[in-house]
Amino acid sequence: MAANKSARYGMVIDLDRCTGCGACMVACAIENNVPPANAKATERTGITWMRVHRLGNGRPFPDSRAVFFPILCQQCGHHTPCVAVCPQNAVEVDAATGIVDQMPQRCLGCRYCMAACPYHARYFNWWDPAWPAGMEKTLNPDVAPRMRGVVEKCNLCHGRLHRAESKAAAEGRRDIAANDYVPACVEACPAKAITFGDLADDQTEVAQLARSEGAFRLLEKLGTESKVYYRSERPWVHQAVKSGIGKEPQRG
Amino acid sequence: MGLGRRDLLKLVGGGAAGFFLTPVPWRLIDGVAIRTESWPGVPDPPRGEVRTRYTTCTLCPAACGVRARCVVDQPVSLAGVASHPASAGVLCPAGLCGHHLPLLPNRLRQALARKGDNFQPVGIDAVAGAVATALADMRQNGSAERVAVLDARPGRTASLMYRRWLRAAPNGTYLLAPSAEATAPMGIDIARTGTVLSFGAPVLDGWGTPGRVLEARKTFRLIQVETRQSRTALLADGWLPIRPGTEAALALGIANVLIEEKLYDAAAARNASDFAAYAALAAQFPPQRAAQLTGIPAQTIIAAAHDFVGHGPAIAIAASDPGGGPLGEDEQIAIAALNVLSGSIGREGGFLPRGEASRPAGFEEAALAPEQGIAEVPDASIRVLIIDDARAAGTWCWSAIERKLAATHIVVAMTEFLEGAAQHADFAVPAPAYLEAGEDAPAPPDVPAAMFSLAGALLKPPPEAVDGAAFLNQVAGGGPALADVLKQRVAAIHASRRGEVFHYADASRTAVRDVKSAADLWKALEEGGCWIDHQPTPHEKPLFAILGDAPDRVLEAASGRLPADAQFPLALVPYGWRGAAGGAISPIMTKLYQESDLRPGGDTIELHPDTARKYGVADGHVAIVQTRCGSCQRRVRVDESVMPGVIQAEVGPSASGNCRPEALLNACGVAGDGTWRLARASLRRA
Repeated sequence: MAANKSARYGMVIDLDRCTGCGACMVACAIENNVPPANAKATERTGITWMRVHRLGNGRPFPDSRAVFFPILCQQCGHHTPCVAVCPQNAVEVDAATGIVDQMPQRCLGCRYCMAACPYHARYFNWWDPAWPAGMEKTLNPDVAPRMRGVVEKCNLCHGRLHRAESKAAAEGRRDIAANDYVPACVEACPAKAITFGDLADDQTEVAQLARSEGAFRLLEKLGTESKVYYRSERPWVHQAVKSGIGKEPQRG
Repeated sequence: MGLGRRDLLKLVGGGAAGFFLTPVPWRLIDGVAIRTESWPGVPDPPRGEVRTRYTTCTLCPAACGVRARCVVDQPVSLAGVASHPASAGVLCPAGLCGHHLPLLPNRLRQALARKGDNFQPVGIDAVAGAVATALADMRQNGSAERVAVLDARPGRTASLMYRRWLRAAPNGTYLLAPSAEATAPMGIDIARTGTVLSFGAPVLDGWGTPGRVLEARKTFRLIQVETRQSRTALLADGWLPIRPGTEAALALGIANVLIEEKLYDAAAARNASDFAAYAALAAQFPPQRAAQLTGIPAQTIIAAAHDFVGHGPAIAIAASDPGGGPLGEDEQIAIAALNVLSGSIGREGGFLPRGEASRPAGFEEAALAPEQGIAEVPDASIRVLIIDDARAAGTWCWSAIERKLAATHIVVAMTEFLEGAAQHADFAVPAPAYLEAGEDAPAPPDVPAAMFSLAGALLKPPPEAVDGAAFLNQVAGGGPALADVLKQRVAAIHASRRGEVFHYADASRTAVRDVKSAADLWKALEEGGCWIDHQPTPHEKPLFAILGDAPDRVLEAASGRLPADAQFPLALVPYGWRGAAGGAISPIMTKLYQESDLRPGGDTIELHPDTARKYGVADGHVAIVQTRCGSCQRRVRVDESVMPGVIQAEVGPSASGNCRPEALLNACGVAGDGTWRLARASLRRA
């Protein structure tokens, strides 16, 4: 796997395997120094770079069925909406890795990118990042916490990518080893539902899974060429995705 | 040409507009943004040498291997140990953020004594003195009352020490925690299992050793019997949505089909001394009757029976929900009997006797107080109760314990947080938290092979913290330290020359006979490793009784646990998730129940839309759930996947933080067999 040969890092998430345990969400928050919820935070204002939704088939008991649907930045590769609208150039697509990167130092908090993102995968820091007193010493030293008033999102654990690159450099290699760069959510998934790797390399498992039957991308019609694929063998999941993601079991 | 006032204004206005077309303002914004990056509101991550250390998770009985990334000595992230023989590189969400627990602000840092409704600081000597005085009083008066240790995490070396201490104490009684997983008498050879018929066990959501189970999931078929559409039910090959409290009826209905159609393992059945009585009992539950009781169509029951034995080896498991209290013993008998019919007991791919790591001298079974369930102890009989790891006791229904206490009693809770059962104690003694305690982790409950790991301490405990064994030594005026007994146990394992050591750091294995000394084995385990015995435990197939002395009770259980009640027409079903159902958890877990919709949260109830309409409540309303034993107030969530007539209530953390699981559990009430997993309830809008 080469960081400098125009890799296209992406993942395939097997919805038939995801148990909805939330290990990916927790591991992501710990790895990327995403703070615990502010007392006033809700589903709308909280920060979860990776968020697992429950997608139901819309039928009542006992015919109701559901899958757990992890949504993160889809790493759009074409006409990346958030890049196009950012007035600060705070978002860029890394040509070497294909990763859509957010630079909080440049972000002025206008939230255009949040409005533009068709996947609702961007989050705004409504509060100062705060951990209970004393717990700051458990922060990941490789990732800077973000300030109040800026937008953040999944960057496929850039801190881990840098570590892998540093390790390769220290060992005199130009290429990083596949095992050295694994995002936290992929590593933490107990069901092994997430396969990560270089989509540009046809030999990788992730590239083969992305081309396999049952694989799809969200909102493919937008032509964003996202690098996060999903898989399911359940026809109703494909149907539900076509008719609009985020449709949860009927409530109220 | 004169310069008029209008020209001046034009110049200023044009200049101001032009200024915004230059890069200057954008550079200023950028510069300000960069400066504010390091404002006081943003904490600085720690700096220092980064290294990897290993230990074993003790937050639940799964005993998963842990790889800790540390900055100097402080763990900053935890992950599973790849290729671990049991956990297979997996940690659950609670385990992933376990390093936050020692740092939680509500950590108990000094001993407390109850004074009215509050607690006041007290010395540990005073607590030990109070217990010693009570024991002396009991000895002097020849009291028939008991001194008991209630162990929330049985199976450890510390548990052996408690049992030996109790042997010498007046009427010493060693109590197993309700639904203690670690005490399962048999392990499961799940890697070779063909079909799992699960009665409510959260097989895919934190049951047994999650890594091992999820790894094996690729090969076994799963039929889930559960009222609730749990995560396991969603991912199972078949889900049988059963009416609450009728699991035993379904088990006997399936047994009826297997016996009638002669689909059972006749050779295995011959080992059961009371097979005829069992068959006669099952004969009372033809599929039609079972269907009537369980709400599952007769054809589905017949198909499930065929499915069960069609892809062997087939096992039937019954487990309590982490938040819902233990299953009744009689229901467990009815379900476990299916394993006799499938012939899975003592067979590869089925249940195998669990092995145990060698014990040091002086800890033979005869020298220890026997293990007992709380229901076995007479009411009002315990004078002194010491609860070990009261943090894990957040999902116990306190009234089940309270009724066992004598009129005059002392309850001491060894705990890291003043939560769960500790809130009811007379004394709370600070204990080392996860990653602070140098202890052992016994074999996971579902692993047949004997295993032993050391959960080496990565952090220093607060100076006041004492472990349970040290506290009992203080009460008794002396005794061996836990660390010494652990070393003796490792020496006993070394002397057995059995099995091998799996090293967490490089996934290598060393045969114990190749380890030079007991000290070397200790070092290997302490640095991160587990001992596993690969010699199979011989499994005899002795004659046994399926129903024991309780055929009538099994029949009663199968007739339904929840009789109809016009005043309380709904069924209240509490449930939880392992690691978070009770007690303190990391604030990062808010990602799962506050900042997302992934877990409903412990302040909600879930209702079917029809049920909600019938009782005049809607999504977001606050409703009062009333039972014969109590009530609780919760936010309504309407969900079409809920069975009509059922109130699903999560036992766990909540965003509001003001809805303790206790109110719900107490509302469920404790049944005669010591269970509290179901109750009849009514509902009204608050």
